[in-house]
Amino acid sequence: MIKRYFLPRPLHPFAWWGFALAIAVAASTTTNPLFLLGTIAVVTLVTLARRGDNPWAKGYKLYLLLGLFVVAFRVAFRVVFGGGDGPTVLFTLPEIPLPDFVRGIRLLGPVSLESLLYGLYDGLRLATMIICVGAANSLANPKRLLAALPSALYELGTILIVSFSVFPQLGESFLRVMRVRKLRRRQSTMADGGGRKTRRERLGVVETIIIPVLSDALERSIALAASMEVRGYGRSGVATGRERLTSTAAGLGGVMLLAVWSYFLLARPGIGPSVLGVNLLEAALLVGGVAAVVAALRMAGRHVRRTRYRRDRWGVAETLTVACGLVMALIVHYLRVIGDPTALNPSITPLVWPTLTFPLLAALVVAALPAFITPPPSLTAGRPTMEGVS
Amino acid sequence: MIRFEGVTFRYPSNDLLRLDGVSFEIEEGELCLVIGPTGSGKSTLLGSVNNLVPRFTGGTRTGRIVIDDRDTTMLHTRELATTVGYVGQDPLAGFVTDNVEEELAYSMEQLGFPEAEMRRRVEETLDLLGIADLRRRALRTLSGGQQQRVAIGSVLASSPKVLVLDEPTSALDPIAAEEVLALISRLVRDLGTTVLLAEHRMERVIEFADSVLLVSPDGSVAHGPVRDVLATAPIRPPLVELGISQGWEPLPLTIREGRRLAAPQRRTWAEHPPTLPRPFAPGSVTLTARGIVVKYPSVVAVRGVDLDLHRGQVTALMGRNGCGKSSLMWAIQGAGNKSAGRVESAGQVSLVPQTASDLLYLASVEAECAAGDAVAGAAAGTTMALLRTLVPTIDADAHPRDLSEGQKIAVVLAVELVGNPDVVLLDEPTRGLDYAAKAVLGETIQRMADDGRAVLIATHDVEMAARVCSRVVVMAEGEIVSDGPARDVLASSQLLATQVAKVANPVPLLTVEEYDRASR
Amino acid sequence: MRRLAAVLLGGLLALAGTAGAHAAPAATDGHCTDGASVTVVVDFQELDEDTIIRCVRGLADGATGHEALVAALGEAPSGTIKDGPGFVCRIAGHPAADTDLVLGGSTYREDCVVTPPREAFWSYWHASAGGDWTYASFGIANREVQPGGYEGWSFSLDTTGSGPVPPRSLPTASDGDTVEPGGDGRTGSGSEPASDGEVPMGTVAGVGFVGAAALAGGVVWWRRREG
Repeated sequence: MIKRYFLPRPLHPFAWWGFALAIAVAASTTTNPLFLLGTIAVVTLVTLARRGDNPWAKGYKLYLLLGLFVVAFRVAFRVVFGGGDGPTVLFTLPEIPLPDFVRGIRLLGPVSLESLLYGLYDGLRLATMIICVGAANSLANPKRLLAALPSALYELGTILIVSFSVFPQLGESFLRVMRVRKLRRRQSTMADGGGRKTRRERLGVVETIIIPVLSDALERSIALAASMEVRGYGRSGVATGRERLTSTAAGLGGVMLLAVWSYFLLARPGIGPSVLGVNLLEAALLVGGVAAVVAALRMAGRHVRRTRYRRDRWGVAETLTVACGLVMALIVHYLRVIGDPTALNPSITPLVWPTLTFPLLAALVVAALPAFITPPPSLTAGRPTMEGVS
Repeated sequence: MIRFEGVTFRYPSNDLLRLDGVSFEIEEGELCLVIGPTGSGKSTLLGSVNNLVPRFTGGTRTGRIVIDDRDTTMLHTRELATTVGYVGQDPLAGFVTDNVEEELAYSMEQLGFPEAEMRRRVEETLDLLGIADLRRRALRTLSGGQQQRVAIGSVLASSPKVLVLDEPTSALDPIAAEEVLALISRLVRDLGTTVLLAEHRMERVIEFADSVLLVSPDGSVAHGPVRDVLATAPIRPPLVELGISQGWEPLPLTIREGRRLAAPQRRTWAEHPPTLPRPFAPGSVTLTARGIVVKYPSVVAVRGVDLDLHRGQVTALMGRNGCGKSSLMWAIQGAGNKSAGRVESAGQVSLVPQTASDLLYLASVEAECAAGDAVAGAAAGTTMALLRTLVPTIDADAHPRDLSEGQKIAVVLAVELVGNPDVVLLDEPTRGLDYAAKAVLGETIQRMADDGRAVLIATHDVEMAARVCSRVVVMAEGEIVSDGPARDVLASSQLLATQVAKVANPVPLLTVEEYDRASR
Repeated sequence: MRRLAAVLLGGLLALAGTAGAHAAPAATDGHCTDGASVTVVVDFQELDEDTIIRCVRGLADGATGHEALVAALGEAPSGTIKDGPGFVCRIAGHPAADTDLVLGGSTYREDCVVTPPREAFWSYWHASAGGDWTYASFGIANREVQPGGYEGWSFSLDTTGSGPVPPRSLPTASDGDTVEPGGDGRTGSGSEPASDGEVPMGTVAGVGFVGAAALAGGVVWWRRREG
């Protein structure tokens, strides 16, 4: 049974996104660089171990580069504007004097370890969140994610899927038209011996590039629409007026509840009772809003008679993956609210060594588990065929 | 199975009736070939079967259409998804997903088939198409023939009773076309699907057809058994032409029938070999290309090709899709990517690209001709006059994109010929042209050669090459494989021989005219 | 207004060129009695710590409030990650990271990552000897101290909209207010001082873990490439 569990298969995209988002939320509340670096390492490990080989999966290193750029940019910013606030001065760059009316802004000058660290901690936090989202994107094929959306959002998903394929086609059209343009220019210069500019050459980009590319795109999109309709696209059922009214009302109501909840989350007005650090009114708004939205989507999608080929199933592995992410987030949350939060945000003045206490270490280990306890991904290339075996 | 009753169709922009009171009936399991000159209502007729024609193209349609004893005149295309499957010319434009398996399942997803049923049918369709090992491949990486087969499979998966194909092999090379047509004939034989197929290059498909539907430019159609309709049709494949001019009964539709009917003539020739037409004496060299190498990031398209073009000589450049023909032509012209090599030419080199309409971007034919005059520095009206010699009936106010394929190529040729080029390169000019339009193009090309220009045509069309070209260059994988007089290369090749050559084998006669002359 | 002043001047702007103050200022407990030194008063209010009153001598000309505070405490106050050291978040380790502050019914813990909320922040006051406390309109990095004057710090917790409260000790030397011979730098609980030079166990464990995870990632990547 263990062997069957570990047969290669792709996981449900929501599982990876749940895992990555939980880790991103946990990382966003802390500035401990060791913990953040550990999170990045763990997330990279999971991605390298469990990503597939579709083109989206190969883009993970771009996210790592983006994270590196974010950190470098923040640190550079601190060096250029105001690097000197701190007792430990590392080195001094020549200061650029500014006129009196921008008093208070100083360019370059002494650079202190403290302000570099402020920049580093802040940048690392943002970089970790970006890398988590990148990991989710690499682990879960975006097309399967769109296919897994509730049926009420199907048309939206189709628009996105079709537009993914439009860009390569536009690119090809563009290249072809550019080549023909070059041809036209060569032929016209050869014809009149490279002399005076003709009206044809003076014609702008619009006529010679944009119109052919756009009319190509128009023809292709009509062909695509015809091909989809020929195969039955657009056969959604008919909902009664009353059903539509209730689903719209539920959707709007849910969205309003969520808007009020977000106000609570950001402004922290502190109304209502609290249990274990969680404001009950906030929690009620969140649960109520989500429930209303889900009900609206279900009602809207009830009449849609579409099925899914090889639908991603939600199994034990998916639950375990999301659970790992949630456990890590919960450990960090409780450290901050009830336990000892000093390790989460090591202070810079006075300078202390950032430490990885035992609960944080445990959180990281839990976050690394999906690299080992989930089935490996199914790869397309290099699968030996069974020809000759009857 | 399919019954049209008094169907009439016209576009709102003009009074021309594309279909005028069309009535016919097609039985179940019949493979009906739809033929007609370019610009006649073939596509309109095929589109009407599943109502794509009024709904996606606009226009007014009257009359009644009954499919499988069900009146489908007013239904939406999507409601006919389980009854009629439609496949167009460009499979890549119709793909929604990005790998083969999902594309095959798409239709069933939309129709709400249960998942187990979908799995089963996808496997069956993969086997039927013979592409089971391609199931996870990305659609963009498939060859043209494979793509067209996947497109056919994607409409087959929901088991429609009728399959409508609008020129499915026009963009394919002969081998890929054979694959697709073999598949279609197997569908008819094994599954009993009714198939309506439109093809310009009838010669490949005429042997499979049960009946022919001839669509005339005036909107009327004639439906009947193959030989009956072809005997009086204005466009016929070369084999049928040969049969008519030789008076053979019944008209031969396959090479085997043709050879049997030609057996006595061949025996006569064995004793008294006929005089073959004189080989064409080429003029002086007008373009020299040495060591042309064209490299793209992932593939080498042309590997060190040497080529000479002579004045007054029409050369055919043949080879399967992807062998480097287009790349070579663009490199010779100079506007394309050339990694190495040298091209020397005495005069101007003109190229007519594969999509001729890319060169046309002004609002009317008149404007294009005027622009052509301006570029070449010729007197106003020269281009228009030249165009009228090519296509006398062209409408000067028409928008270039509304013209038929043959007319577009004519406009582009007129604009380029005004500049008096020494070398003219044509990249696949025969796509989408019927026999009559090809004959006109052939005459134009002959006239260009008579004027002393060198012409190089990249084409798959063996019949066209036999009629017009005196030299054939065959390419494969970026290199030239054979280069010689047309008669030598075309008559003896198994794949590239014309129908007449196959009938007359071993006597190397290429066209109907040659055969007629030799048999007198 | 408070936010504008603090954010503008803290984090982006720098000390006005007095980073290299070399004459080491000295701090003694109690109010200053001469007209050249600056008295620093830190009132912890509801945080339940004893008020710090120190006299700082030997500040250079044009020294900022930041330098006065550093001299008085013997260590720099903590800033926030977002604003940098220009916005004072903790003085002498208070409010600590695990102190529960009750704000309007819910519990708040100060982690010094973003700007502290208006109900729980360190407010900055100044006064001349014998005068009244005035709310500072510049940040600590930009305001020059007045020789003989008073620098005041008061932690405002949950004031009901009437504004921050000035330090309870009045800025007069004659006021016999409690003078605490405060010790040197109350370090926050749980943080290991960097001054003893020894790297704590948690850091070593952390670096070891990150290294191990990176190594494992490399191994996985290599095997995927091969296979």
